[in-house]
Amino acid sequence: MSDFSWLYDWPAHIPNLLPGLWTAIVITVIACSVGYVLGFFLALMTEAPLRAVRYTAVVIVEVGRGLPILVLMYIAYQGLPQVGVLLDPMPSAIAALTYSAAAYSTEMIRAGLASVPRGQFEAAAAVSLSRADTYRFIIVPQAARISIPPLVNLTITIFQATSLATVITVSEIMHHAYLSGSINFQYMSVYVAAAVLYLSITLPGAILTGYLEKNLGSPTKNARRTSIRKRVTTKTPAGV
Amino acid sequence: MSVPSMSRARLQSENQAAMNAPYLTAESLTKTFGEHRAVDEVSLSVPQGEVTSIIGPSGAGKSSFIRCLNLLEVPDSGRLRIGDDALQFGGAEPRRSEIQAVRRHTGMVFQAFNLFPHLTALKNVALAQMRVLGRSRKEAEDRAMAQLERVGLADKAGSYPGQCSGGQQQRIAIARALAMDPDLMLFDEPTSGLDPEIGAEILTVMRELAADKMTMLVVTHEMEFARHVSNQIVVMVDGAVIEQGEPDKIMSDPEHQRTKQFLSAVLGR
Repeated sequence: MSDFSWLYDWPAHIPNLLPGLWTAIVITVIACSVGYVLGFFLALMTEAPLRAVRYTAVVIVEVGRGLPILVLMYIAYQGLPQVGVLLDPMPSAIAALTYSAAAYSTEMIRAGLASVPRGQFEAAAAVSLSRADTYRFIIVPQAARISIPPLVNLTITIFQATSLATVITVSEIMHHAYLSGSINFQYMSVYVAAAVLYLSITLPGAILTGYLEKNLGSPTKNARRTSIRKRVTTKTPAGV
Repeated sequence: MSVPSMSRARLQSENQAAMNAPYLTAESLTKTFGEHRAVDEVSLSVPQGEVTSIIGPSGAGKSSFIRCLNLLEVPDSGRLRIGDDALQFGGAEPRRSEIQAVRRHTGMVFQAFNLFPHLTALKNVALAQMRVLGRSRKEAEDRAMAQLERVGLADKAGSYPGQCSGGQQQRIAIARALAMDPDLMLFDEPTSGLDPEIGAEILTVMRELAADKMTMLVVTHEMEFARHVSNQIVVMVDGAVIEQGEPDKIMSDPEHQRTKQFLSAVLGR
């Protein structure tokens, strides 16, 4: 018995799901903003002179990327209480996704930092800029042009992954959708409404990523970036 | 009547002596990259207010040496005195504060310019003044503007490096170094990445600096500049100084066989 009423009645379910959308956005914003800062420091650690520091960073990152996010969520919510860390559902989800965001962003940020020519560090050193100022004013702004498009993309992925938090009883979109569906049995309508809400964020996000990939910085900036890189790579530094 | 004139003469010669006191003294500086001794026990003095040129074949360690002087490369051994700061290498790594003290007195101009591509010319010149010297934005930008005028590029203040020619970029880089009020300017082949015609405009700026009595150490392949602008020429080969002295003497009557070879190759005689 086919029923295609969902084709037109899904919008009626949107209001029920909106609180869940808000929750998903809050989780994403916190997880990504904290996660990317951690990712920045992990990226610096992967280049540290001390081997122990580098290895620590690599282990943290590879574990974070190797484990499914669902596993991280169960560990945060149900595993950690056993070692005395008791988190509510929402903080558990945020913790799991923050770790994931940090681990995945590390390589994107590292690639951005590595794209800045060595001469930029030397020029900053030659005018006595402190290390912190060198990163803040010289290196990070240039690295951002490389790192931001993949980070926007990762943010979209993390937003989608908030749906997994339903299994640890966070009332995000899918949690509301499942509850509505189990009351009125219009699962198709409810899930289409949920899908529309996810797409309302992810599609603009994808368009934004594409736009940033093409247009970060003016054409003249792009031209000079390649010219500077060429100059640095073709010349062996300091007659070595 | 003769007494005052004598004392004036003596005063003059004392001034001369004071002028020529070394601002920088390197003693037995050595820097090794892996197996390769890029800088081999180099000792030299850079007199205050004078121009010293370092010449020599490619791979002679000239750039490595000049980079040792503001500690972009930390020497393996030797001693370095710049102004009132003295450093001894070979023991503990120099502290960050010691490195910063040396760099505060030196300005550096690179072959590849190394301007900050995401900042305008004005911001390139103003940034470190604000962050390192603690000048207000207004003061830093006023002084940046003055330095850009000095190198003839006031009209490029709002342009990004990518919108400037190579010669203009190098002049902005010189302005950036000068804005920090250095006591010593280090030039690492400042014209080598440029067409000869464009290089000439850089050399003009450097001549003006020399006329203003800026203490300068210049690694260069520009023999005309080395001969006519510098007060002293140092010849480096295989990481070591083989000869140094007055430009005319070195250029016309070099003592060392290797200097003769090098000069005949570059001067085509």
